[in-house]
Amino acid sequence: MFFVLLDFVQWFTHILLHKFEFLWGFHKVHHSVKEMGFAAHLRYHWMENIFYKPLKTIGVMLVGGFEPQQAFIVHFGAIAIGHLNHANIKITWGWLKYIFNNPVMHLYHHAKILPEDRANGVNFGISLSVWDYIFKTNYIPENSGTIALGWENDEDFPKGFFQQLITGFVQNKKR
Amino acid sequence: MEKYIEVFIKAFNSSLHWTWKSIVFEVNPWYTNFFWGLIVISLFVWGLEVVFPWRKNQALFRKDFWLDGFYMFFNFFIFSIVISGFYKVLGLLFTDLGITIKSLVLLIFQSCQADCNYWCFLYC
Repeated sequence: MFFVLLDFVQWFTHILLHKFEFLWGFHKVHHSVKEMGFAAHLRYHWMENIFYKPLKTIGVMLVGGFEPQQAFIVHFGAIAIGHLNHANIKITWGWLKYIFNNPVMHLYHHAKILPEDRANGVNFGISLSVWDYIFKTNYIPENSGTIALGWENDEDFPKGFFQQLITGFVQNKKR
Repeated sequence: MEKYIEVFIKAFNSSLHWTWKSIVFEVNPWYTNFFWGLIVISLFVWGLEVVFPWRKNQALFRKDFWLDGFYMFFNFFIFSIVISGFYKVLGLLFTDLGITIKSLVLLIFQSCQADCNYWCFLYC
């Protein structure tokens, strides 16, 4: 219950990160990954921690104001699923793909070329894919795994850690 | 002000302490160890990548492997140590603010009752 609620809240936050130019400026760090592997999961701007916090806090308040004792299982589970989503492994969980996010689906979230009518992005799921299927933001045209990642005109995005640390504050180019 | 600084330092130190305890295996129970938990999960998933790669031509140490590896520890530990103090201070600030507003409202209300001032009630 805690897990599902928290995942929904994060899915929603994730959509906001893509929708608003200001937030996208920070979220770009995560989308600057060019080759996917498990650790790409945790390449993100430190401001994202802060953006996710308010809605997460509301989620925690809704389940009673404190994290359940077994919250560590939820955290570890989320890390494992998140790692797998970014990993260079082809897993789709069979019919469970409509519930759980997976590497094939999430690779398309990172696709450089997005369908014209969905320029804000697709497959926003964190641990669960079900939100994307419910709200029709799912998109998996094929599964070769060889698509280009990033966004259009991302060539001049800073590549080093320290430059990425301050990006979003100093430069805000179009997506 | 001093109270806030104190809270900040205390929260900072306790997160630092907690992270250190995780690194040296002093977390109870052992399976809640976040630091080593992250490493074990990472090695496991990386192992799967090595044995069952999807893109066969991708290097084991793919592009930006080490950058992302550093990000893992930065976002989960270094950043959370730095920010923990801010969050605690913010929490305290809200609590204090809440109490201040509450007592202010109470004060106005009481003074209103005291002199039965019509205008005062109107503005309450």
